[in-house]
Amino acid sequence: MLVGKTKTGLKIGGSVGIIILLLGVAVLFGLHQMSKVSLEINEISEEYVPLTEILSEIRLHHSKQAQSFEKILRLSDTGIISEVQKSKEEFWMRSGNIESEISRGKTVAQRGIEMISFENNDSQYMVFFQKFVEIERIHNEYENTADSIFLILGSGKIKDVSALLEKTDQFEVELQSEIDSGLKIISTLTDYSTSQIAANERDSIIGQIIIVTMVGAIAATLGFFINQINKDLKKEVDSKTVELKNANEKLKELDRMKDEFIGIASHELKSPIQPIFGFAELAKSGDIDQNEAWDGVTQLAKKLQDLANAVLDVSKIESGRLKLQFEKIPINDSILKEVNELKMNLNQNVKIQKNLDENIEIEIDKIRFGQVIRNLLNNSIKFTSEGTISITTNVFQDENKVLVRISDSGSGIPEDLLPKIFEKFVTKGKDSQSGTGLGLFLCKGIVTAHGGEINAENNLEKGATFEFSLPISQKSKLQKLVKVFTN
Amino acid sequence: MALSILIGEDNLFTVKQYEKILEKNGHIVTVTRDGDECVKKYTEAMKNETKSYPFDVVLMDNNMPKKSGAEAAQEILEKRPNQRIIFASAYDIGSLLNAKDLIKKSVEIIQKPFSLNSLVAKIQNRK
Repeated sequence: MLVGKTKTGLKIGGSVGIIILLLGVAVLFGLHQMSKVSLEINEISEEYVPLTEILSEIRLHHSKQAQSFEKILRLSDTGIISEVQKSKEEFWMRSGNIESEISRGKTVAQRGIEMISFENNDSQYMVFFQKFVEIERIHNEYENTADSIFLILGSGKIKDVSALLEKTDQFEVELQSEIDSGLKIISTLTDYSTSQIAANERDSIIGQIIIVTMVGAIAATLGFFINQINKDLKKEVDSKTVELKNANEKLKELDRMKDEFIGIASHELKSPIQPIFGFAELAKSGDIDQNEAWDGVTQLAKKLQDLANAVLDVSKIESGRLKLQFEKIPINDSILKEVNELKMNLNQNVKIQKNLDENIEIEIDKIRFGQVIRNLLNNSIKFTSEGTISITTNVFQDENKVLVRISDSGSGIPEDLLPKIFEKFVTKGKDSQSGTGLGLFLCKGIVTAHGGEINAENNLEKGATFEFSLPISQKSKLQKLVKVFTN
Repeated sequence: MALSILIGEDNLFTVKQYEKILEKNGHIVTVTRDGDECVKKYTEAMKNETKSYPFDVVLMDNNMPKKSGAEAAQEILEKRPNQRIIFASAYDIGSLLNAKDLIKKSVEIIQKPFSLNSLVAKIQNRK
């Protein structure tokens, strides 16, 4: 899950990064297009418009100049000197205007050459520059020719000026032609610029739409990833909730079992107390034989002691705190010790039969093992009024196992109790004098703690058999694993 | 006044002590060791006695093998609804009262552990 989360985390981070990147690109692209547009606009305002104006002005001034020229020609016949003079002044004034416009035109053209542009505009402005140079030449020739005509007219000589007039006409035509072509070029350039502006704006919008769409798509993907994470998290929360619920149920059950055990245990502890009080009372009042009273009290006290110890052991087993002191003990010696002790208090009608295998050394807790043997034998004795109790061992060296079997020919285990026989307080004998009700539970706990197993079954004929296995050596790690898994 | 008392108790020591103290006080004691035996003895006595109630008091331990004291008491009360029964119980009195709905007015409870003399006093008091 962690790997998945990291990958998704990278995806989200990557997506966000790409979005930011694309937005940045969009901004840069927009700026780029805007700068192109502004350059075009700049060109239009700095160049095309002024050039158009200049050429128009030149045309205007020239037409005025031509008018003055006409006037001079006409007035020369009539001979009104003042009028002629006035017109000449007018003529030369216009000349000055034209020259200044030409100069301006050259400046603008020069500026155009030096202007930074996306396209290589040097050539076009060179053309303009040349054009103004040409216009200047034509203008100068025209004026020179006009001047010559003025001189002739002013001298009073009769001379034929028609040839010169033809020239001036021609110069006028050339001039107009240059101006026209110039204006046409500007017009074309302006149209081109305008269309470039439109194109750039369109590109800008298209580009930004594309980028924004991509951003949108990525944002949607981002949303999808986040939703994915959400779902994954929710799934995990749900599964953890189920786990917790189960654990809680288990705990509740354990708690209930504990309460039940405490209830029963305290009842069991109280029950010997009643007769102890009774003995004390009767002994004090002298209504009972002293020996009988004290023997009874001793016996009851021992039962209380056994029960108290058993309860303590149960608590240790349940909380996994049962500490075993392992030693290498010859198994048969340990068994025989218990058998011989019990034999002393045995009923005449009951015999103990031993079928013991090799007296190998087995790694056990001596005291706890003895407790198991004692418990099982006591049980058998309790439920066998007459007959045989047999104890058998089998050694399986290669399997690291010893089997111990204790069988009796007594009343057997009630069928309804058999499945629960190793639980707490299940056994209720006809004589509740002896036994804590916890003996078999403790046997199972001790055997399991050694890494073994214990079973009970009723014999085909009479009585019951208890069988348990123990590992010979505790060192085997596999054993411990098996213990864990089977528990 | 001598009372006829039927006892249901599985603990040997307790039984002997009940016998001793009650007989010391002049009562007649019949002993049974489990719930089953107790009901059987009661039923038998019903046939033999001329009195309507074969026993003045039935002293019952609740925790017995084969049949619990409560069950035995219920069966006895079905035969003789006004039979005086005393429960000797190691359990909380409260839980016993709530546990079975059979407990009627004629049933008394004495909680273990109790002194034998207090038991005798309780038995004799009612009469």
